[in-house]
Formats: sequence, C-alpha cells, structure tokens
Amino acid sequence: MSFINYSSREINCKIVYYGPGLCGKTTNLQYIYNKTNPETKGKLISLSTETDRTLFFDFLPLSLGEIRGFKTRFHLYTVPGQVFYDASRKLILKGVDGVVFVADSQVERMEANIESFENLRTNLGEQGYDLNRIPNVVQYNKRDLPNAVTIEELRESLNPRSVPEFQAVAPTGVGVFDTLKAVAKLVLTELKRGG
Amino acid sequence: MDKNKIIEGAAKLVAKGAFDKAIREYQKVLDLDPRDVRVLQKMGELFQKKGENPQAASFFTRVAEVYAQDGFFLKAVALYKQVLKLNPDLVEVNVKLAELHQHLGLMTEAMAFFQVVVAHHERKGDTKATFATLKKMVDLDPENVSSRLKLAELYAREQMGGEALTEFKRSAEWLERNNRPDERLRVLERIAALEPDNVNLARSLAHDYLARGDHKRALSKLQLCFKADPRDIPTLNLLAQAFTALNHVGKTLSVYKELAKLYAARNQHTEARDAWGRIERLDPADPDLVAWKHSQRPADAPPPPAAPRPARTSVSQAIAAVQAAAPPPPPPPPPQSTPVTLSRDQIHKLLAETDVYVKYGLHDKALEHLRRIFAVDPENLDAHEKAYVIYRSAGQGAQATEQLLNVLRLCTRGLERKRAQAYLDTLLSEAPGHPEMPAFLAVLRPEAVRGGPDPALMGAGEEEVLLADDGLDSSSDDLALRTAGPGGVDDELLAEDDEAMLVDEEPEQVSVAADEPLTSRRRSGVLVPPAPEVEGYGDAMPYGDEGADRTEMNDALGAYDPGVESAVELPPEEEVVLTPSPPLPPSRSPVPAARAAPPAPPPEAPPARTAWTQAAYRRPAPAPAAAAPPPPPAHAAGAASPGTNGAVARSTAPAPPAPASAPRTTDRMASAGTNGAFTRAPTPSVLVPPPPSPARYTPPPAPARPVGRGAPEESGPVTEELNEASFFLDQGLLDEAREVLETVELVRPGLPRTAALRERLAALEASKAAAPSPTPPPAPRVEPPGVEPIPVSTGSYNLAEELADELQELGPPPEEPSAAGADFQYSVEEVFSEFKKGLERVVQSTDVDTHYDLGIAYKEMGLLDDAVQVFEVARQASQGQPKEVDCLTMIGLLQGMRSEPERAVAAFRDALSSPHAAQREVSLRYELGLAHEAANSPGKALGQYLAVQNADPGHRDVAERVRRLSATVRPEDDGPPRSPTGSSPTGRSAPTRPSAPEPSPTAKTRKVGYL
Repeated sequence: MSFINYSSREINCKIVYYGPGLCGKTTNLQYIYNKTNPETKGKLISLSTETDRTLFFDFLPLSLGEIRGFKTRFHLYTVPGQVFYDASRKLILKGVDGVVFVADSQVERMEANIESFENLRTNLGEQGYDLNRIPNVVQYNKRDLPNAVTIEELRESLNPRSVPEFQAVAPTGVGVFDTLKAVAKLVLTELKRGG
Repeated sequence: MDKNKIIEGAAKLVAKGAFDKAIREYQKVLDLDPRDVRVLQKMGELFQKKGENPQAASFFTRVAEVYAQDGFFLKAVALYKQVLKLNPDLVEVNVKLAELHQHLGLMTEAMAFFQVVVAHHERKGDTKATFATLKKMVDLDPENVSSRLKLAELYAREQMGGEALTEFKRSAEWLERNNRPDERLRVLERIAALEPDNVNLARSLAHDYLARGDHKRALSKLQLCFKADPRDIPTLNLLAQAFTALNHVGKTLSVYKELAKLYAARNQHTEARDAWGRIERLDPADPDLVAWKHSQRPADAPPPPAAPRPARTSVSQAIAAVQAAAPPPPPPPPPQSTPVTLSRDQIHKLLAETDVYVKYGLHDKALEHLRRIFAVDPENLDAHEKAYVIYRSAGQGAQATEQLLNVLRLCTRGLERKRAQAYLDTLLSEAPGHPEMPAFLAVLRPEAVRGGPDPALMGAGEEEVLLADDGLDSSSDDLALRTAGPGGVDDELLAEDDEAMLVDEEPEQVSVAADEPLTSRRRSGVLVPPAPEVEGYGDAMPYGDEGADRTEMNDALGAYDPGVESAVELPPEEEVVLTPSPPLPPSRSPVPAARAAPPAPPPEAPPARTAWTQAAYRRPAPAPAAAAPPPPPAHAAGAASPGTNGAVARSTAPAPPAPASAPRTTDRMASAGTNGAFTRAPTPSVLVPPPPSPARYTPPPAPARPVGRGAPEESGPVTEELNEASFFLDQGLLDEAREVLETVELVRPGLPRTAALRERLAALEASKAAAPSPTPPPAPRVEPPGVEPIPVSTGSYNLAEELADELQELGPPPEEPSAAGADFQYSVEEVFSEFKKGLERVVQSTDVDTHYDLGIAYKEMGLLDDAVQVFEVARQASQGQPKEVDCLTMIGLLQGMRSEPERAVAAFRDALSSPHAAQREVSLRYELGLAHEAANSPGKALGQYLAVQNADPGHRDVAERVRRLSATVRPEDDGPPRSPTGSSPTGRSAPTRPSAPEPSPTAKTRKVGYL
C-alpha cells in the first residue's frame, strides 16, 4: 500500500522491477533515468557488485508533482535477480504497490524466467500479496536478439492472466516508458480505489 | 486498541516486577500482531526471567522464525542459539540452525548441526529421518566424504546394497581425486565386501596392496582372481610378485612355470623365455627349467623328466598354502597405522619425553612428539592435554582453545567427568557460549543442566560422541583430534589386528598347509575382508560403532567368515614397524635412562600419513588460492566469460579495478563489464557474489568453506558488526555497542576482538559512571569520490504529463488512516552492509534528497533503524531548511513504529521548533499528540489535540480523540516551542526557537538491527 505521509503531505508509491538475473531490470531504470526530466527525478542509486550485478537494489525516485496538495512520487526499485539473493528480494518486495516482471526473451533464459516468475509469486505471497491482485505488468525484454522466443510462448508461460504486456529493447528504450506508464496507471488506479 | 500504549504499560509492569501482568499485556499486542518481533522477544525474556524455559524457548523460536523469513539470518541464528541454550534437546532447532548456516554459506557449521540431528535420529532409531538428514548433508556438501560414507554405511546396514555401492564408489572416486590412497583403499574394501565377485576390483586391490608392500592382503585378493580365471596372465604375474616378495621361492617358480606355459601356448615366445629366465634366476637347477632348456636344444641329450606337476594345480596349492599358513588378512589397517606403528609403551615413552621437553621449554620438540602420537592415536587424551598445556603456555590461544575442545570432546566421549571438570571450567570462563557447551555440560556436568541430565544422552555413549563430534575436525594445526571412532578398546583390537597382519608365516607351516585339500583351503573365508575398522576413517570416515553390523552384513553376504579367521593360530609376533624415539638433546641431562634408550632418529612419516593428517583434520583454510579446490564448472564459467547466460554483451564499460580491501573478492574472478547487461556505467564494486547463474536456476555454487570454529575468526557480517561496535564505542554510544557485542557473542562466541571490545566497553562505562562526558561529535563522514552512479543527462520525459488523465481521475487523497501511521543465500545483513558501504562512496552526506529517499526506501522494507539513521543524516544536512521538518517528521514516525514514543515526541517537538514548520503545525501537533499518547502522556496528548482542533476541527480524527481523552484527563502543556508566526494553536505564547538546537534524541538511536 502506498505510503501517505500526512505531515509532509507526501504519497510514495513503490514499483518493483522483478525478473531473472541479467534480464534488463537495471537497464530499464537507467533508461528511465537518462530520459526523464531532471526536475522530476531523484538520484539513481545503482550499485553493482564486482561482477557488475545489482547489489541489493537499484532505486530511482520519480516525482509526479502535487496531487491535491500531496507530493506524489513513484519509487522504482529493481531486485537482484540471482537466485541466491532471495532474502533481499523478499525484503524489497515489502510495501510494494506495483510490479513489472521483466522477462528475458532469449530461449535459453526461459527456464530462468519461469523460475523467477514463480519466485515472484511465492515471495509476494509471503508478504501477504497476491500476484493476481497487485498491479503488475510484464515486459518481454531483449526482443532484438536473434534467439528470442515468440511472444506467444512467452505469454503462455509468463502471462497467464493477460496482464498488460510490452515488448522491449531496454538499451534503446523500446517499450521502457510504455511499461512504466502502464504499471503507474494501474498503481494510481489502485490508489484511487483505496482512497 | 493502542498498541504502543499497551507496550508502554507492559514495560512499566516489567519494571515493577509484575511479570505475569506484563505478559498478559504483551499478549494483547500479539493478538493484534502475532509477528511483532519486539514483543515476541519481550515475552521470551519475561518467561526466561520466570524460569519457564519451554515458554521462553517457544517465543524466541517465533522471533527467530520471523527473522529467518525476513532474511535476517544472523539474527535468527542468534535467537535459535538462545533457544538451544534453554533446551539443548530441541532437534528441530538444530535443523533450523543447520539450514540457516547453510543459507549463510557457513557449511561447516551447517554440517555440525546436521550431525547433531543425525545423532538424535540415530539415537531414536529413526532410520528414515537419519537417511533424510544424511542425504541433506551429502547434498549440502558433496565434497564431504565423511557424510557420504556414513550414508553409504547406513544403506549397507539397511540392506540397500545398490545405493550403498553407489555412495561407496563416489566416495572412492573422490578420495582418488584428492590423493587419499589409504582411505580410498578402505572404501574399495567395502565395495569389495558388497561385490565379492568383482574380479577387476580384487585385482586392482591386489595391485595396490603389492605397491604398498602388503603382500599378504594382495595374495588374498589374487586368490579370488585366480579362482575366477586360473589362466589370467595379469593375475599370475601379480601372484608371482606376491610370492617373490614373501620369499616363497617354490611357489614363485610354480607361477612362473605356469606363465611360461601360457605364453608358449599363446605363441608369446619372448614372454615365455622371460618367464623361464626368471625361473633360472631363482633356481638354475630347476628340473623343469632344465627340461625346457633341453627342449630348446633338440640336439642335446634329453633331460631328466620334470616333475609332472600340473602348473595350475601347483599355483593353486601355492596360494592356498600361503593362505593357510599365514593368517587371513585382517581388514586393512587404519591409515595412520599403516606406515607407522607405535606400541603403547612407546606412546607412553613419547609422552614422558614430551614432559621433559615441556619442562625445558622445548615446545617445538614436544609438539613434534605429540604429532607422532597423533599420527597413530589421534584420540590420545593424554597427548591432547599436553598439547593444550603447551599451546597455552606458548600463548597460542587459538590452538590452545582447539586442544581444550579436543580434550573436552574426548572426555565427553569417554565419560571422564572428573578429568574434564577443570577444562570445562576453563571453557566456561573463556567461551561460555560455545556451541558445544550444551553437549559438554549435558555429559560432563549434568547437574548443571537445568532439569538434570538427559537420560537418553547419558545412556547412549555413542550418541554423545556424535553430539560432541561437530568440531572434531576442527584444528588449527595437525595436532587435531582426528577420529570420531570409538576409543581405547577398539584401539587395542586394532593393534592386535595389526600384529596379526604383520606375522610372517613359517615355511614349515606352509608346507603342511600345502598338503591340505584344496577345497578346504578355499573355504578359508578370507577372500572378502571385513569392513574397515573404525579408526581408520577418523572423522572423514565416520564409521562409528558399526563393526557388529558390518560383520552381520558380511555374514549375510557370505563374504566373511570370522570363525575361519580365528581358527588360524598366530604365533606371537613383535611389532614390525616401530618408531624409535628421537634422541634427546645431549645437554639436557635429566632424562631418565629408559627414556633416552632408543637414540635412533625418528623415521619420517610417509607422505600419505601427512596427507591424511592434513586433509582429514585440518579445517580448510578460508581461501588458499593454491590449495583451493577447483570451483564448480558453472561457477568458473560464469565468472569468466562475457555474455554468459546467453545474454549478448552490449556496450560495456570496463569495471574499475577491484579494491584491494573489498571483501569476498579473493576467490572469485572479476569480470569487467561482461555480464551481458546493457550499457552500464562503471560503479563502485563492493561485493562479489557468485557469478551469473547458467541457463537455468541452479543450486548456488558451493561457497568457500568457512573458517574452523575451533579458532574463531571474524568474517563477513560479524566483522561488520564488530566494526559497528567499535564505531559506537568511538562515539560513546555504549548501549548500542553493548547490544552489538552481545549479539555477536551469541552468533560467534569466543572472538578475541569481541572480548577486546567488551573490555573497552567496560572501561568506558566505568569512566562514564565516574565522570559523564558529552557525547563526542560523530566521526567525519568519508568524503565521497564524487562519482555519480549514472551520468546525468537531460531528458524530456515527464511521467506526470503522461499520466495527466489518470491523475485527474484521482479523487481526493485517502482519508485518515489508523492512528499511528537451500540453497545458499546471501543474508540481507551481508548484502545490506555492502550496499551501505557503497552508498557512502557515491552519495554525499550533504545530499539531502537522496538520503531522504533512501529513508523512505528503508522504511518500506521495514529497515526502521537504518531509515532513522539516513533521515538523521538528511536532517543534519538540511538544518534550518524546510526539508529538516520533513526529516524530523519521518524520524518521529519511525520512532513511533520502533515503539520509542519518547523519541518520537522529541522529534516532533524538534520539527515544531523549526521556522519552517508553520504550514505543517497542525499535522505535526497531531502527530505529537499521537506520540504523547503512545508515551502514556494522555494529558499532553490532549493538549496537542485541542490545539489541532482549534486550528482545524476537521483534521483527521482529532475530534474523536479530543472527546475520548477529555473524558479522562485534563489537557497538559508540554511546553512546545512556539512557531515563528507567534500564533500557537493553543493560544499560548510560543517560545523562541533555541539558538542552538538541543541534540535530538534521535542522534543516539542508531542501532545495529541486522545481527
């Protein structure tokens, strides 16, 4: 649930980019950061390990301005995708308002995609969330690669509920903002409903 | 129901000693929030104070479960260990601890706890559970041959021959790969016992025995081979070697003659001539040889006829004769006794000489003597006691501790309570939280264990061994306690076996035996030797008390007939291999003559012995580059190759060189921007996780084995926590430092640095009590290098514009919420610690917005302590600015969430004192009122609510709160600072803002919450 601070009159919504290792979650945030109006973005916190993998989480605050006197902001997070960071993923999912599942379209990553998707469902469940209810979208990243699986196959495995889905090539920005906008809409809708 | 109020009330009850009432109050909170760890822990502590340990353990267990679920593995470990202290018999807690250590990558500790679990299941006779746990252990550490062998033995015991064979064979392969021939040979013997018809294995074993000079045992193997195929040339060649080595000339001749015939029959004339040549060298007058020579010279006169003895029969008879004359080979000796044998007298002598060396301060020589004893008797309690004394006097604390533990383990095993008491006292004083302490106490000082000794524990000597076994392989040097097998009695048996084995048969007996019918000799039952003796495997081959079981199994298989073996009368025999004592230094005269008698220099232990000693009993070093086992293939590939996971490497930037001090970097290969991820700017690298996972989710790579527990060492999060404790001490935050040190002591007891820090803490507390001094200013923050994580580029995307429609559709902001607002896994503590280090480098302390945003992020993740800390940093950087009010507000909210209402009050009061608080005064006063309520100050709360109501009657639920409180209390003035506008909602004159802001109580709120 979005964090509403009545004293400082802020609403903070938390969107988590989830997916297997090296699927492009951080790249999504980097593109968003690079292409967003500087006045509406905070600093991108993106630390990496020696092997250039996400350390704990990436974090990018985006401001939507004031909505009825409340400064409304989206906090975008990524999770570390590697399997041995499950505890970190669980922690990052706490208080989540929306999820972007970033899938790696390459055929050899299908199993990792499915594992990660199930891991998302499990970890959300442990936090008391239901993937079927929480705002979420799916992004099929790396569509430009020759070994990409067909969208139908990806959809069958990763989008059984037909949530909004997007094809993306994150380094070039294809589908990046479409994905963000879609999940942001869902989160705001949920916020409105909750209000 | 106001949770904070209840907690506050309960705390007061605790202070009054009304524990039962406090428990009832806390229970109300738990009814609302069963996962509130602070309250759960309070409950546990209360029950512990009341002496109701089962209930206390139950609550601590719940806390630990929550921590474990949330990824705070170290905290969970600390809690579970506390539970074990309350009730050491909770096997499920040991399981949890094993799994948590597994998550933390502390495999040795995980295995130790699993061993306790296995011991428990075995004690209960729960074979199924034992199987399950052993399989876990094997899966957890496939390189741990000890677990695999235990599993194999269990399979064998349960008549699951196929599974047993599989595990034995894997163990043998591992032992071969790791150059441990002695142990491998013993495992092969177990395989041979299960596969009595495996001729290839028998021949291989014979070959090995011959290479080791163990001709008798080789002969027994060759007999099996010969039975299977009397015309097998390799077998016959090996037979000839064996007979030659045993100096059985006649039998050797027979074999060579058979070989010559076979070669000739196969037209291998060169080989045939070679065989005759060997015969000639042995006996030039051999009639068969003469005949053959004549046959090679047809012109010569015919030779006298050779004795018409069929070669095959003669070979059979020869084997049988030797077998009959010699005792059937006993089971292979334990590795330590193969190369070196010491009689008990010699051991006593060595011990006496050790005393002399110690007396004259010659510690090295004394230790050398002890090493020799351990080479043949790793469980010699006297020797371990002496080693302890030596290390102690030499100031080698880690080794001394290890020896102390070894002594206690042996005393535990042997139920030597009286002897152990002094050592137990020492351990209790030095490391009362040692994980083996419960096991030691349960056996050695049962009266000290609450509720008396565990009958099961007391009654089952062997299981006690397992309880204490978890550290048996830990050693700081090769004076390790090296076996987990039974003790003295079996030692004697072993010695007898060895002697029997070393008996040289007499020729007369051979000739007599050779006349026996072949059939009877074939019944000699020595073809498949019995299972290895317990001692031989030590900790790495944990054959415990299974000798009888194995015998039964062998009987069932028809592979071993001890009766036949015992029927052979063995002549008394002296030990063949003796290790004389080294000469004493001539200048050291007061050595008794008897001790100085054998002046010959001690033979060096063979390499195999050394290898065994080191490999089996030394804890693996943390990261010895040269000796480290090769990483799993996936690991190596992932670390080294770019674009793994099938990802296409795109534009990559070279990663900065790994900082020399970066943790966890030593054993992993750095890959410079080769992860196949998309464009990524170089960022500081602070943690090296395992390399990218391969194309599928795979179990995590086996981490480097941790440092042995015997010599406690810091690592990872523990080091980090100790650094934090040191920092707290530097800052004078003694409570925080104490909390950290206590937790570290629980998690990793006995660390020297912990002790040092505790001493420092005690000194500071003493000085503080004498003359309280102001808290020193915080240490200067590390100046960041000014590297931005991602280069900022201007852009034009405006999400707000894009979502304008959705934003318009939004209704008013939501109304008033409730009153107050197996794998291997990296623990959150570890990752977060590295993350924070990285942040220090890339986020300047003056960056208010980023710290503020991070505070929100931490708060969302439930990392409340850290959230307070970063908000405090943001607040410090924004003093006098509007943002300071936001920071103080967040600090106040977080303190409320942390059940620290007084600190929340202070934060909100600070916020109200800001000149920028005017526009938020109403909401801040409302929050202040909530905090006062939580702090059990309803009068002050009412005062604030009334002020809010005067300014904004519709503000949230203030009217309801005023109505409720007005019925019971009168409004109180808590002296809030007046807002700069001069108008106070209460109508009172506002105080001026103090020129120097009083130090916020939040400045001391930083706590380490991740251990």
